[in-house]
Amino acid sequence: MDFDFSKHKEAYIAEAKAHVKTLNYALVELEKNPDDKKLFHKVFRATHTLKSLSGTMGYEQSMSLCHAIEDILDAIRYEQLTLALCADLLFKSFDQLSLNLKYISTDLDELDSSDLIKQLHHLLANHKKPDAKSPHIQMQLETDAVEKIQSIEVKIEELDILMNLAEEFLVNKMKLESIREQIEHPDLVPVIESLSRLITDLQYHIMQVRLVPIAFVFNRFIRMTRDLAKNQNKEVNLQMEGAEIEFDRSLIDEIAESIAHLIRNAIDHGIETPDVRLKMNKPAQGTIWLNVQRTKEAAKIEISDDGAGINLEALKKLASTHNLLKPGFSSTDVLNTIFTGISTAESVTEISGRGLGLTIVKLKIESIGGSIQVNSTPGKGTTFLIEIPLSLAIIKTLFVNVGDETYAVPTEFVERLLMVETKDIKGVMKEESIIFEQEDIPLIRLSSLFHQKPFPLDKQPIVIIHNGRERLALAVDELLATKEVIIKQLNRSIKDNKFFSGATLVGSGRMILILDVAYLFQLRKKNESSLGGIINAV
Amino acid sequence: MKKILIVDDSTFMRNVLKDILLAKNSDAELIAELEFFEANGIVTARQQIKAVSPDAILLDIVMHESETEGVEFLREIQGFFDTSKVIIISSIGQIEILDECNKLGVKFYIQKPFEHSKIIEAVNHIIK
Repeated sequence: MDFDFSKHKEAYIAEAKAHVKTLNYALVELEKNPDDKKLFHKVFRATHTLKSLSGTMGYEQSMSLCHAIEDILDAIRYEQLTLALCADLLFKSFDQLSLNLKYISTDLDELDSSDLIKQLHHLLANHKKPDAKSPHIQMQLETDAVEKIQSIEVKIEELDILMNLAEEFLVNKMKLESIREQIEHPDLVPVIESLSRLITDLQYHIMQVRLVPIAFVFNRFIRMTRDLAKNQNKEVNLQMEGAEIEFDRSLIDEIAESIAHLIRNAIDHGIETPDVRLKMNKPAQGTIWLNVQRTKEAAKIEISDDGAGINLEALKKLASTHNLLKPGFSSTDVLNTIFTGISTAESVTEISGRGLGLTIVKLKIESIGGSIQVNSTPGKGTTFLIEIPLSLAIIKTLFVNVGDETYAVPTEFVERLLMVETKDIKGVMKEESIIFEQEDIPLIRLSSLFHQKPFPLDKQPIVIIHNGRERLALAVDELLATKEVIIKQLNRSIKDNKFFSGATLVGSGRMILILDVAYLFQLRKKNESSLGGIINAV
Repeated sequence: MKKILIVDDSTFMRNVLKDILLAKNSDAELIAELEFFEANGIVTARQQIKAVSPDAILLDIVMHESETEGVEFLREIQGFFDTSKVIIISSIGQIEILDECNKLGVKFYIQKPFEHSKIIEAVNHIIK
């Protein structure tokens, strides 16, 4: 070939990777349903296409390997070989193809596949039965052709750049808005409003672009489950639901490893071997369920198995020796010690293997603002529930000054802004309140809550917030503007972060914390209930 | 300017074909300048044909989930497009499929791996 295709290398690698992915998951499915013609076609087509692509690029090893795979597939199609006989070698070949792509992408040569090809040919030669079916090409009229979705692959780095640009846009827009407040020009207003709308749209759509179905990472779990189960002589079926639900690409990257770890755990320590299971009147094949749900605010991912469950007694003993259980502990508390990394070298119970991995999983999930819970019934199974708040929100907030800090209050909860004379604030210390619309509304001074120096004012700016049922009055030092912001997640495991539902970046590079209104209401309730005997000063 | 529509589900392949057609090579030259249109599937291909009325089509007969999708598409477009202007892209050993395409009016096919001169020759013939 007298052509230089090297500039197409990246496109080749991207497409080839996708085909290898297809090969892996389709063959796993085909093993379970060997008569599924559609699946078979999928495997065949992916191999064939990959062969073409590789040939065009001049990647001889990959091309020859695909050719050998095709020959095996042909033999299976015409019933000269069974899939069961070939599966392992085929998977080995797929792995080799993956490896070749890795090498190619780092400008190395493909691996020498001649050995593997020899093995494939050997398989063909030694096990071929005389033609069970005559090799005529079957022209099946597939009337339900699946239409492809128009889509392209985009580099994550590019998307990150777009996201950052969009944020810069927003910040500059905010600056422009504050300048507009100083310069009164009739033409300026509609232009800025238009600009605002466009930027909001842009941000929304950029975030949409980053959305990817979680199946993107889940698909590799299928192959992982098969291999692990096989290694341990266990039969495990991975059931996935909700894999088509889309999430921001970065979120999926963050949690993929954690979910993989939980699945590995379920296979290693949860699912029992078939004979043990049968003795317990369980089906020989164990099941792991991966269930994904999504609300506007959060992603819920459930990983459960029907295996042996966690040995509560052994765990309790272990936790006690490490002084992890406080008096009056519940079984939930015992279960939660599984995240603390306790494991004993000498212990050979099921929990010893769970060791440090779960601690890391918990830390990871909390670092992106999420939470993880565990539930288990000995003998029946274990369930992990991961909940992650979604960072796709742009919300309108009210900026307020409190001491040296600026905070943001989501305007969704803001009912009214008031100026109240200091003398109209009733009560003392933590029991202050104001009268608004003939109602006694409890007052919280944000300066004392956030350890800022209180600012003596004659007229106190107040933000009345509501949660749909009750109201609270927040005393601040200064009311600033309302701004639309992108919420960034906070690490919720840090104690002081409980007051905040997120943070946002402003033009100067500062991080402004966003108040968690729900938590403020909770706090007030707690304070009220614990202040039984205090007398109000008159 | 002559309009050519490339129908292939692989972005890689479409780019390769464009490259081949645009390359300046001494052994064969296009007799007219080409304007490229692309489709990555049957649905888009249909739309493009109706919207653009290409002077030639390069159709990957090996694409998609079923072996017959490309052939069925040919059968369909017979109604509104001159199939003698279609060049089939195929792999070696698809004799029956090529036969079917021939019956549907197709006169040219190119096989992977591609030979530059053959592709140019076929395109030249059609856009004459």
